[in-house]
Formats: sequence, C-alpha cells, structure tokens
Amino acid sequence: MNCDQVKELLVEYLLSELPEEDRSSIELHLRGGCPDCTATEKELALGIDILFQAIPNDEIENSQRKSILAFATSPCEESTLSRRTLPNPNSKSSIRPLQWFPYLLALAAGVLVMMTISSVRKKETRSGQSVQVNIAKSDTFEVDPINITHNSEMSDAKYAKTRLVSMERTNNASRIEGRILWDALSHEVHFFGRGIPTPPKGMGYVLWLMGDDDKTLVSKELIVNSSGLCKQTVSNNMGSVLHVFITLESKTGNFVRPSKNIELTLDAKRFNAFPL
Amino acid sequence: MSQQRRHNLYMESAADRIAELVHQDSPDEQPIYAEESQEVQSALGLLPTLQRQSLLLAFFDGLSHREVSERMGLPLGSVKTHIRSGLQKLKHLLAAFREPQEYS
Repeated sequence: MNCDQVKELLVEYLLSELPEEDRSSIELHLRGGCPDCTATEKELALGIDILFQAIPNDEIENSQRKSILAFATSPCEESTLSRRTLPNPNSKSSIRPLQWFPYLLALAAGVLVMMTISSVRKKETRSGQSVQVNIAKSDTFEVDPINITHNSEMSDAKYAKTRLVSMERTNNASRIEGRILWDALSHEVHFFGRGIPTPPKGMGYVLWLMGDDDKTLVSKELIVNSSGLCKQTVSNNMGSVLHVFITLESKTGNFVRPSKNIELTLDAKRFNAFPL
Repeated sequence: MSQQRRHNLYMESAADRIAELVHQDSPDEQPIYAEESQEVQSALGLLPTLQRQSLLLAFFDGLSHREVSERMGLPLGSVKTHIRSGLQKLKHLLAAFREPQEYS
C-alpha cells in the first residue's frame, strides 16, 4: 500500500472496521515509520477521540437520533427549511398582501406596531405542517412560548430545532408567517418570514429573539424583499429561543443596534431603545 | 443488530488503539478534550456541511462509510475524504478554541 491508499483507509482502520488483510497492510506501512501517515493517523485518532468523548451516545433517545439524522442528511439547511416547513402556498393560510393596506396606513401615521409573541396555543395541525394560532386582543400578537412542533422529524433534536412562528393581526386581516430554525451546531438562529409588507419609507423591521431565560436578547434588522420574504440569521449562544418579536422602528440612516440593557418584558408594548 | 449496538461495539473495539495514540505524547503535550460537548458542537458547526453531515452520520448515528455514502448519495470515496478531512479539521478547530491567541 502506498501513502494515499493508507490514508484512505486510516479512519476505518482506527475504528477496527477493516478486514484483516487491509489492516495488516496498514500496520506494515505504519511500522515502516512513514512520518506522514503516522502523523495523519495521530491526527485522525485525536479527532475520533474528541467525538467519542463529546457525544453521549448512550443517552440519545431514538427520536433524537432520527431528528439528527434528518438534519444531517439535509442537503442544505436553507432549502430544507423551505421545503419542509414553509406552509403550502395554496393552503388556507396563504397570504393576501393587499390585506395589509390598512396596516400600512397605520404605520405611515407613525403608529408603532409590535408583534409580541407570547402565548399561542396550538389549535389545529394540517398535514403536520401548519399550525393555526389564536391571537389575543390589541396590537400585541401572541405566539407560543413553548415549542410549536410542526415537523416531528425535526423537533426536539439535540442539534436542530425548528419552530413555527405565526403572527396575525387582531382583525385577522393579515398574516405573517415565519419559521425559526435553531441550529445548535453553528449556534445560529435562522428566521424565515413571509407575507411581511414593505415598511414605509424611513422605517424598518427589527427581529428580536429572546432566550428561554427571558434575559438573553438579540436583535437584527430584518430586510424584506419585494415579495414580502425575509431571511435573517442571528449568531448567539441561546440554548433556545422562547420569544420572537418583530417590531417596526424608525430608521435614520443605518440601523443602530442597541448596545445593552434593553428593557424588554413579555408584556412590553415597545422597546425603550427605539423611541419614536 | 441495531445501529446503536453496533456503534457501541466498534467504539469499544477501537477505543484501546485510539487511546494509545492519543496518550502516547510527551507529558507536556496533553490531548485536546472538550470541556463541554458544546465546544465540539461549535467546532462541528464550523465544518463544511458535507464534512459535518458525514461525521454526524458516521459517528453519531453509527453508520458505516458505505451506509453514509448511500444516505448522502455521494460516492464512497468522497465520503471517506469528507470524514477524514472533517476529523482533522475538528481537531484543529478545537485547538483554536483553546488557544485563540495563536489564531487571532
């Protein structure tokens, strides 16, 4: 065996997965003192050891394993999310942008509209994909503090969680739908939204994610394209996203991210960081 | 045999050889261990997608390389390369987490 052939089989060799013939050939090569292959062997052993030490295989439930498998075999996170979790555009919950018109008028008048997500209950599940949400009174939209699981394969995974976020106006005239994907591998939270009206001139949306400790709070500007779609990724160390807020904020020049001490509570009507 | 069972078996059979390699260093050079699995998760998250997926399937789910290849729809050789590269990169990433000054 030459070096390339040996390196090709080193992982399986280290995992004792090779037939005797191959194993002997590799040992012969390594015992011959090939420095390059020996170094590679050591490096791979360290990598394997790291994984073995870190992954508590015995504790992983079967459902979690399936979830991880589903996540791991996804060809692309973004496309997977779109394919698996975005609602059927032909479903009853499809968006009718024109119905946002009254809302836009209200925004133009300088009214701060905030969608606060706090207590949605799962009312109906269609094809395991869509969840209808009960909306509370007033401008405060309430959505689930708990996981809204709409895809059993992706739920409660160790490495990836998805959540449906659905926001509706009180008068049921409009609807925003979004998906949250929490990727524990990259420590990123991806938000995919649709049906979001173009903000008035000088205004912009801000996406807020609050952690399950009710303290961790990150924010990022939410850019909406002409089709009402938006995607935003927030890097953070949140263990879990408990609340999602989208606010419309005045925007002078670039979006200024609040530095710290945001006073935001679950019943907050507005953010102190963005006085109108 | 369940995948979990098989995974445990080959982990056990491979463990001695790996432990020997990891600990054969001089006393000054300690093996890199993650203090928390979160560090490893972070490192995994920084790997290219195919490397990460290959590693998760091979080590987390206990699939053989051939099974990983079938699951991902990639040639066996590519999967082996992804796993090998992923393991090597994982080790370097974890080292970078530990000693960020060397990589800044």
